[in-house]
Amino acid sequence: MNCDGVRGLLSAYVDGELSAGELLRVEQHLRRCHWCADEVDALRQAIALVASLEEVEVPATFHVQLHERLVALGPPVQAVRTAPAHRARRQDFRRWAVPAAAAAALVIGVAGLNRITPLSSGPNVPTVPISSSAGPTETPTKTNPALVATKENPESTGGTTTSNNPPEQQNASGDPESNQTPPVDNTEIQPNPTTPSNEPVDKPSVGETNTNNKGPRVASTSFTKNVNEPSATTQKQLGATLTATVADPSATAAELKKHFGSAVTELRAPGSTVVKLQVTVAASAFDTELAYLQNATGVQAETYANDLTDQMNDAYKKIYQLEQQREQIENSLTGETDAAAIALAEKNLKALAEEAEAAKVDYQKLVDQSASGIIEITLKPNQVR
Amino acid sequence: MSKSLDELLVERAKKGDVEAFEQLIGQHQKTVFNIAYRLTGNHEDASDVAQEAFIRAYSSLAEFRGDSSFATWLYRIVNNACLDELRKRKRQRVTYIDESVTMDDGEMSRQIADTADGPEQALERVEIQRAVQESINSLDDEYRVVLVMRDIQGYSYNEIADTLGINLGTVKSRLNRARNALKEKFGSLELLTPRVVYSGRRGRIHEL
Repeated sequence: MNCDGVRGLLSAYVDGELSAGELLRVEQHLRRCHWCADEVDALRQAIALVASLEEVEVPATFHVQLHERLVALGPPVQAVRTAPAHRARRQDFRRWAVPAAAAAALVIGVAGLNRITPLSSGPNVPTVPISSSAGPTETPTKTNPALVATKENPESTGGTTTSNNPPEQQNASGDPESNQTPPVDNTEIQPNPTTPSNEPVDKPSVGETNTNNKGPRVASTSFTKNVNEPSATTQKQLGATLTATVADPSATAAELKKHFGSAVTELRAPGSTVVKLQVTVAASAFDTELAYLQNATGVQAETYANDLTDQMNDAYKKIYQLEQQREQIENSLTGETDAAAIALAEKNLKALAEEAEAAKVDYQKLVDQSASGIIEITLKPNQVR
Repeated sequence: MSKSLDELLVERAKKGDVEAFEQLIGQHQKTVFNIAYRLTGNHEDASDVAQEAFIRAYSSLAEFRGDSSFATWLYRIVNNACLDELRKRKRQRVTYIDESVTMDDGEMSRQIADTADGPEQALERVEIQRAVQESINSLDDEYRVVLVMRDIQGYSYNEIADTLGINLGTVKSRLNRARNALKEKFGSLELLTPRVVYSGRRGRIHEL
């Protein structure tokens, strides 16, 4: 046996996983070939290095977090993939029923505002912005999904959604995060085509808590990110440009960087004395920061606002439709026993879920954009006279 | 016939007794976290994955019938959770770099304090460990997984094949490639000691 033949077997040789015949040949070869013998040695050292890795400590927060999540789950449910799980979801329909007219009124009424106001989850829960031309669109004439954001605490939409929290009912136990970030629910958009929209608008949607609290669905890893519907008040991206002539652009830039910290990026052309900065601020802080800048430089900025309304509505509608399709398939699965049908449906569900995931990412980008503002600052040096 | 402690705990846990479940997993928490850590390469992901794994175990307790030990069953779930996380991350194409030396100062100083080595040697040890972990991180997922399962968790080839749903030949070849890749990496990082060989007949030293 030559080296090539042996090399591929050395790993198994070290583990004692060779057949008797292979073992014989390898050992014969190793007696004669010091290159391969060295390989074995090096291999053993590498394995030893890996095995020598010491255990790391579990972070202190781990146990606490895990405990909270376990408690929020409720008793483990029977492992059934069909009827009960789907039945449980059906009962969530109640939270989606919102009178279409009321929804329209809300949207139009607050459209004039272009500053962020904290999203109160109380009676004025904003709903899905229907295309404001009020023409009938295919889906939402019946009902509109109510805002799922629901908690008792008002959320400030200035925050950005963060992680996708797999456990479905984490929020049931008063999630401490609820102050800053939008709720990290496992929300799924489900229209209720049949139930007449009797639900008053001011009923805060129940949120992710399954009303019968049957515990987590046993199906595959949950993947729906939480989605806040576009608040009617937050659909513009604010921006400003400011050009100032200063004695020492670099010094001024340094001052500004100190003030803004990591929110600043510097764009400087090599060899240029002009300094350009780009600052990202939260929409709620936009005015104050702009005022600070104008003060510091003595220059007025030009402001503008990018209207994201249409984009956000479109993105949201897309998510809604995808989720609707998912819902339909899930319902059709209720009580289904044919394995092939189930398999096919699951496949479709998976594809839809991935699309929905992507759509939500897009939507979230828009949300983030509407929650922040960008200020571009150009600092030019004083011309030497 | 009296039941083992584990059996009793499982019973209570199935009914929703969280404390019972936590007792069941208590001795495994550190191991599970470490598996997740070696596979994902950073503390944050490891924490997420490990928690996810325990949650899954809790949620599917009803399926545990006691025909294997609780530990075996648990680790199967853990490995699956880790694999799912790796797949998910591959789609997102985001990798978190664990600034373990800077962030986890507590851990580092703890490791240094732990030994009879002087601070220099202890520091070196920490550095080596970090280099080893980073080398492991640099492996592609499917190679990293078999390597961790074999050389850290100590599974047999058959167990690895079963858990991952691949055949034995694949396990062997992946392991071989993983280890070779690491060997190269370690070599270039000068973590390996070369052998010194005497050429039998003439007594010359070949440094290799």
